[in-house]
Amino acid sequence: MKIIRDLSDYNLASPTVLTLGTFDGIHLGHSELLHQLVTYAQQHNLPSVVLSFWPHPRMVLQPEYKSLRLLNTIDEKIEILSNYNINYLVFIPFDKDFSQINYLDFIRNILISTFNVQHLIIGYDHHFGRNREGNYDSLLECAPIFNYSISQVGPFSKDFVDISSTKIRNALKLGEVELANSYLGYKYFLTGTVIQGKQLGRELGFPTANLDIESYKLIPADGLYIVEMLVEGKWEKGLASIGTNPTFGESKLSVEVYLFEFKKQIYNQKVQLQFWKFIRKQLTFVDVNELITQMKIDESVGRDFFLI
Amino acid sequence: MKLDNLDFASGKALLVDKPYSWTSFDVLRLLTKLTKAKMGHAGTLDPLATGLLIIATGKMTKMIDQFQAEDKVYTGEIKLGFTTPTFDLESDPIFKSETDAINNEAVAKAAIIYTGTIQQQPPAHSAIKINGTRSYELARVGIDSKLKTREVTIHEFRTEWNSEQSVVTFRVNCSKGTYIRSLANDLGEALGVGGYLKSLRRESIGRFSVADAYDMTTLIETIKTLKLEQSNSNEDN
Repeated sequence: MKIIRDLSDYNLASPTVLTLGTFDGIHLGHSELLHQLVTYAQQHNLPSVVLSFWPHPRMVLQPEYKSLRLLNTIDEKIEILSNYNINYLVFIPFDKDFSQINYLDFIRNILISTFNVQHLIIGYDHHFGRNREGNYDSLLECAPIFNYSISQVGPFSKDFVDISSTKIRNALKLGEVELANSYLGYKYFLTGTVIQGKQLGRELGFPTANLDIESYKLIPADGLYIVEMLVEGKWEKGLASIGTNPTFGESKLSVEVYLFEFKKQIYNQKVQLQFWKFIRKQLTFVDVNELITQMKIDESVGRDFFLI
Repeated sequence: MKLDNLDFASGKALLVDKPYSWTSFDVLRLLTKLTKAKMGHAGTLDPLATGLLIIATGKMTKMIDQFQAEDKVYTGEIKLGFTTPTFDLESDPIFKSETDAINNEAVAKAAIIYTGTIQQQPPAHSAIKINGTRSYELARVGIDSKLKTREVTIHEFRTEWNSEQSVVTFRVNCSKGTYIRSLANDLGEALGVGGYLKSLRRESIGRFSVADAYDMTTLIETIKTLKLEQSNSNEDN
């Protein structure tokens, strides 16, 4: 998969099979669309292109979405997409100027002139161009003019609910990681760097790794979760506490991970944390002993979950 | 689950790494003999496969259906250039084609066809029942019962081609009911040279991993040690 972050770096003349979208989360619906893209490209012996935008258009266009948190950082998105045998992943830098291009110019100048699209595969709810005026219908109208074919995918539903990135974000904000995971088709994960914390856990006999996470990444609701963390090439099982450490009177949000078996110090290492299950809300304990008793119960809940 | 007592009747779930050539039922039979408890397993592994088997006893047997519904991860090898009637080494390989033209890219491209939600034809040699008779019993007497295709989801199908041995090593993450033997046969067919499943290991069932499983020797030793401790403490009383 070749990654292109500037349109002037794209210089392929061949006709392409292309899809476009923000693909936040790359959930089961996106996944189905991407499988169709790659299969079509292969059957017709054409290169496949995923055209995406960065930053997320809503971050640029709608100030009320300043607090919008995303399911994937750009690096995570690249990592997930690299599993799909896509030939080109293109990020169009999205800014106010770009958002003013009307949909017809977008089709003519980007899809046709730059990417020589022969076949388009579009998600069911995709809009593009100024004021989101471009959609499947407008692409269908333009197909005979610019000589491309088009197909539409989705919506993809699970238990009668149409899957969308928004529904997944909302589930995670409520701590419903199992629901989010069932829509994603994989475990929701954070990538971060281990930083030095206050080392309170170590004193209590539960050493934790504190994670530094990208600021626009969506962190699930406060609480305690059963997790696995990829550290030194191996998935280690444990618990993650998300919140502000109320017992110690702190207020800054932290992500702290306690691993059942792995006890080494791993400062400055990059790790991946995947969420399996929410077990409880944050509690404030009257004293440290009460906290330790609860941690022991939590650990046995976590171990039973994995049958270890 | 770490085994620290012998109270199998009230309900345990154990992760076991099934040894090569054992049937899944062999594992159950041996453990039943040792513990005298009723038990079941979640999802048969073919005798020639190794890897994770979940054994549930007592009240935990109620959980079996739930375990069985989980996605599974397998690793293994597909031998190209040969086919077998059972799609694995339960029957003898028949030469089909040279594999000189195969390369890594061709294998990866063929794997893409079988990634995503697909319709899979179960193998004729399978335990699926047709009008009350097992499909493999019909297949043994030469009746190809043309089983209905099933919808299964292959979340991930990673491959690597080893040209010296004409073997594809793979890792597949799939929904319940997926036949890896069929996947091997289909991949061989898509490449035009034929293929069969040479080896198979179940790495995980949902959140349960073979990395946390007991090997049979350790499990038997643990149960025997616990029994000994129990009879000693009984004598003390």
